[in-house]
Amino acid sequence: MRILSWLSGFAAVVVVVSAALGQDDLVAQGREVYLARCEYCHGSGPQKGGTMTLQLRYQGAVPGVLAERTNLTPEYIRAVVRTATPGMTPIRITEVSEQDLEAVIAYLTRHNEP
Amino acid sequence: MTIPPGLSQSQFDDALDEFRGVVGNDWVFTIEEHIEMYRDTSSPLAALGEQAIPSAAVAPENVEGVQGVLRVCNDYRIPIWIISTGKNYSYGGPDAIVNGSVILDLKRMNRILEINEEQAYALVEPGVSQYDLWIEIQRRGMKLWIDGPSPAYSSIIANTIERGVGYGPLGERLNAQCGMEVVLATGEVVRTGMGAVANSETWQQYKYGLGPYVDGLFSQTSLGVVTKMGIWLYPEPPAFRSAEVYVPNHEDIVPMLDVLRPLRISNVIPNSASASTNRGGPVEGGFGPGGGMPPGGMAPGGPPPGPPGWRCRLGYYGYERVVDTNWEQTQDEFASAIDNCQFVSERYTAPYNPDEMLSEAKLAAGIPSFQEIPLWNHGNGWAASMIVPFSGRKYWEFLETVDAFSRQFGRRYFGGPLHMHSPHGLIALAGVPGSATDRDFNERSREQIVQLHQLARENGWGEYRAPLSMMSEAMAAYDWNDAALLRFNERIKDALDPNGIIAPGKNGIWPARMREGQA
Repeated sequence: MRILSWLSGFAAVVVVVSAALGQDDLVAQGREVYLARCEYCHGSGPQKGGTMTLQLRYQGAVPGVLAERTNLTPEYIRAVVRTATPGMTPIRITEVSEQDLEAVIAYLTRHNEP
Repeated sequence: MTIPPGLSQSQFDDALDEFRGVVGNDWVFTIEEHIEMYRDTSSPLAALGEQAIPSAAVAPENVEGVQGVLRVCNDYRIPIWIISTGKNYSYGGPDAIVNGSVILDLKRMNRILEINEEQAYALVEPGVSQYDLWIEIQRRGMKLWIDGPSPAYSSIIANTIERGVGYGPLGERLNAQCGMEVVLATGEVVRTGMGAVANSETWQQYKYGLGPYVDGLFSQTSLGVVTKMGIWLYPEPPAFRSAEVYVPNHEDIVPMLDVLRPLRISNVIPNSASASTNRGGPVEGGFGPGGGMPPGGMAPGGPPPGPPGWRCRLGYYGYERVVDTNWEQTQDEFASAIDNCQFVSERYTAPYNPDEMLSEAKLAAGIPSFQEIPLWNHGNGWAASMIVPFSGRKYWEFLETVDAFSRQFGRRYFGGPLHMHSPHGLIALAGVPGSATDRDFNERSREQIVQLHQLARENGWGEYRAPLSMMSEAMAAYDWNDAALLRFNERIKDALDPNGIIAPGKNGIWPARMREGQA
């Protein structure tokens, strides 16, 4: 229910952001935010706590590096970022703004099957 | 919706309107989904139904905004709890003590105002994280190292002024602080040290200025909001060695500490050395990830978990010959005192590639990571971080005393982490496990940690830093001369924060209007 609440509450933001930026720009912006706010835990390379956790959890069924995933949905990304999940605390709006979160979602879903 | 104590809903609504006038509508958070993000997800108080719920969070973007928020809090007598990035998990995260407090979120104040390579310092705002500063130094190609704790998203300022720990050569974090800008509770802005000289170019070069050294008042503080701070950095060394020493027996901690002490005090070991027990492998009925013993050192009763013995983590910095000589001397000292030591070490030389460093090396080189994730380490439990005499024999007495005490609760204590970031000081952690959902379990653990505080007080083990829900219990140990230090702190609190708005109860210091009925 909380996910739905988030979605309905911020649907307007999605529209505004998408209208203001082209999709390629949004993906590029998302990559920048991802590198600044997510990559140190979820990136590739050794000793990335988030990546190691996901590798253990999924045992190779999906990549441990988030940026290589192709099955993350916007709803799931939003829920994990904004609510507490095991091993990851919520990322507040003062850390990653709504606009930046939409850009991160665009980046992490760029290779998803349509 | 929770509201601040003593206010009516309409008064609080008026206050919220005034907050919005100060910081803008987008930066006053009141709906449940937003408030949830300002709660410590690992709090042991949650299962007890005692976790304080914020009434709102307010996020100014500059000093004027901080002043405006404090003005509203003074007008309405609203308690406010300050967070920089709010990541101080295991000590309380973003939680306040008083239910209905407003959270002052400083994350938007995230400017790196200066990085000076020649003088090796930075001037930052409270929202700047370890990673923000580190990556900016890399981006500019500067030959500087930062120091700090493992979690990359923690605040440079908050970790420093909470007197936290780093693992490199500047690991005594408050010692690396140089010059503050502080908004007092009443709204005046002061700069400390050379920052008080209007045309000074030395704010981040000399700490003390003239007259009483007041910066300490704004560490672990409830007297003001630190909005800028200088932090000393470490010139990239030509060489660096990360090292570990393993000793095989539980009793070997006695000579290990006696070997470490003179090396640490004389700066042969220049980094924040730390030590921990090797125990912690999977244990049936254990509490840590996978059932192992948590780093708090408290295990269930029964056979000891995992292998005995201890390890310490060390770092050496400087010219190659110095690094190697000091490490060789360290090995000689250990080998002459303890049988069957094992030594593990890797030397790195500039230019450094973090991706080629082992995780222990990254810690000792101040490279932000998440190697030590507090949520995993201390989730839902309590820890006491006690200053004990830096002596093998004295530490062994501490360990045996805490173990005997813990058996009363059906648990064993095998020794938690030991921190030596302050070279003459030894800090020993003892933690009790907690549960996210089991009330009875947490009641029992709380009883144990409360009694542990009483034991600590009887033995003179004061804490260097206390988790949110044990701050008054921790301050109770500071009882010399009928708690003269606490009364001194209360007088300062009442003078500088006459309405008692900032962080009431922090470290057991309550403002006059809330002191009635407090321990």
